[in-house]
Amino acid sequence: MTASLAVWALLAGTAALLWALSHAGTKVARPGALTGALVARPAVRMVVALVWVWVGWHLFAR
Amino acid sequence: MPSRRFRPAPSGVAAALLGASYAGYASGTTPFTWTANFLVAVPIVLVLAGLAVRWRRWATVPRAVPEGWWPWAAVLVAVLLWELVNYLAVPRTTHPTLSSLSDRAMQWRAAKAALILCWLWIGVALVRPK
Repeated sequence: MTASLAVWALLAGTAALLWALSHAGTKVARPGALTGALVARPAVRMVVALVWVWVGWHLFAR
Repeated sequence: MPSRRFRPAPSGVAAALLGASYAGYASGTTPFTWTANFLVAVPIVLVLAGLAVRWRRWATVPRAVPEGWWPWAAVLVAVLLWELVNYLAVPRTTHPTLSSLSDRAMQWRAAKAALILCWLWIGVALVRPK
């Protein structure tokens, strides 16, 4: 495993830990509540939609 | 004590089956082909059309961002920075970006189908009314 992959794994592990903490009654925001509050803003929803378009096209079509 | 059995709505089951079937079929396509372009473009057009039609529903009072948001922001910034570091470094085999990692994972059709299904689910969530 390269150092870069190790950092990616560390970041994924941190995200998983935060997800677990958010569902364990700590002060960490639940991802669903956080993203729901963010995309309630029309501008943020539009940006997220454009990122979603780009990710789909980049990963699966191009 | 009342039982809390998992009872998904029939429409939800139908949507999940449709999405899984679509993802399974699309996972068999090869990038840079008309078939792949078409199968990715269809959900994009549908989601953008849904957003345009339902736009007024979301132009309401913004919901408050919950406390404890900053750990997620820190992880997001770290991911973006590490992506940039790897993008600017070579070779890609020792400095993989998220794209190259997903390319490796998508060599397995099941993994590609799962990624496409996740992508479709996010698109539906963007359009679905709350």
